[in-house]
Amino acid sequence: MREAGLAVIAAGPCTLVQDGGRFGHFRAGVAEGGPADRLSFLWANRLCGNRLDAQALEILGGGLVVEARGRLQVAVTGAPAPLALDDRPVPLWQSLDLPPGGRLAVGVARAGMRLYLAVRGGFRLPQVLGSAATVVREGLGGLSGRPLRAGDFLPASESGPAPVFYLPPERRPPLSAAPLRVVAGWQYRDLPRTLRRAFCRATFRLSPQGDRQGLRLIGAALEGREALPRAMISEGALAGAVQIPPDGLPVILGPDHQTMGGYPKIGTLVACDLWRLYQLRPGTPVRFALLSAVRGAALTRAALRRFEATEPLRLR
Amino acid sequence: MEIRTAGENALIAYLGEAIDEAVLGRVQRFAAALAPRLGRELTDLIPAYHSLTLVYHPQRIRRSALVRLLREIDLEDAPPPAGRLHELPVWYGAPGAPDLPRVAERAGLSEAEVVALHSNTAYRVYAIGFAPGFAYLGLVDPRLATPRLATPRLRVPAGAVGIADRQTAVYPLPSPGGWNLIGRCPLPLFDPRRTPPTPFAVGDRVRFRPIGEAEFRALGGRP
Repeated sequence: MREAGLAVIAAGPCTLVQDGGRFGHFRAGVAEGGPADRLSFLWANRLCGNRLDAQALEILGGGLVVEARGRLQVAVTGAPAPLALDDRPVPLWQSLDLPPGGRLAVGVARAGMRLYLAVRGGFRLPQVLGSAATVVREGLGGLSGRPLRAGDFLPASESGPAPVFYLPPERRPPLSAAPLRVVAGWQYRDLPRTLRRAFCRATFRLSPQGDRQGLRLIGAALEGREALPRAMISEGALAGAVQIPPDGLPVILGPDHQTMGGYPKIGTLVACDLWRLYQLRPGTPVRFALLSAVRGAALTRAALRRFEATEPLRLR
Repeated sequence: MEIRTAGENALIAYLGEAIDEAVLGRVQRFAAALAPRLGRELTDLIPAYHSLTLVYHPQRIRRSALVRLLREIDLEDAPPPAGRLHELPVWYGAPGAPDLPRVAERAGLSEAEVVALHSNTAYRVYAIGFAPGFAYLGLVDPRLATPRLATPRLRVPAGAVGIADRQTAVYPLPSPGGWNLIGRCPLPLFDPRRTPPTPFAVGDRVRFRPIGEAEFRALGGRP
């Protein structure tokens, strides 16, 4: 019998295998990776009855077409996009039965940036350093560390009759460009007061030059940048860290960040706002608000608690 | 020691203000004292130069308790762990490492003198980052200090040995890079199939041993 799974017919601009992430290897210079919008990823797995860190696909902008080998159950969440099974529209945020040979097509996202496709039981690709998360820069994880291509095969398990869940729109994590909350830290105290004030007042736009390694912002350079600390000794860097390079335009590190950096950092985005940020399109205006670590941790905790407390509708 | 916030579940401890062995020794001592807590209260650590970044599980340890723990380590008077000594064979002036003549000319030395100076020191691993397994080694003899290239190369071969100011390093994987390339090491320095994937730890020492083309090939290097 042929192996069950998904055959990739069209891959879209950048579709990556991701799982919960690759933890504990900062000392070797390896970042955690994992889904850029973790909440949508968690939902895709939950709608398939999976472990929440099971291997799934992160689809940038849409354009993925896959064909089922064997009987599978999948769910697609994240950015709103047309979705069709054998040319008939089917809903996002719902568990879907794919018959053998069934063809699922993800259209172009109408808003947002990333979709997540989970399969019941999770994909079964080999782990590297404890994770299948793809890091293209280092060629780690996923399928030989690269984005999917037409002709690829993603092994999974056949699924018997399984419950079907649906998450109605009002229960989904919203796309939101509300101010990004940053826990003040790192070089915050060493930065000129004018720059710290300007950081909280400025409106930037997301640059099209952004990827999972980091996002650049464009706009007016921050006032006070002439007095930025010079010649810093390099130190650790984390996902969500907000660097202020000499040009005065912040750079926010993403899940595939470098583990060291030599630019001053004003703070670190709260995790739940980094997930939200990775759904915003280039050109979206963004603003910042500073807060304490204790308040920041409470925000992420609340976002995860909301996820746990939200029940999807059971349709079958 | 100065402890600062590095995120909702992260701290950074600064253990000195300069790049030197004494400060690095303190970083190593803190990293060693905290290592048993990895996978429990701590998710990960980044020791580098003069600081230690710590990511913790907020459900398993409170921020205040972690700060207390760091202050207690600060009071201990243990010597830093010795670290391991690695010997790396290097084919100086190999193809793909074109900057040896320029480094020599800038220093007013012969190429052989550059090789001798570069290979007669046991360097410290001050940090690992930039790319997986990329170890920042120091300090290079001041005569060999050479600024980074104004325009980084788009592709540096795996194993290339470079100098930037008073630091030296081996690129474990092909990548873009702006360091001055003086040689190549045939050994793999990042292998994701192994845990840990890199032989180096911060505080280890690294010594380079000059080899020729024959040994480079024999050790698995491909020019």
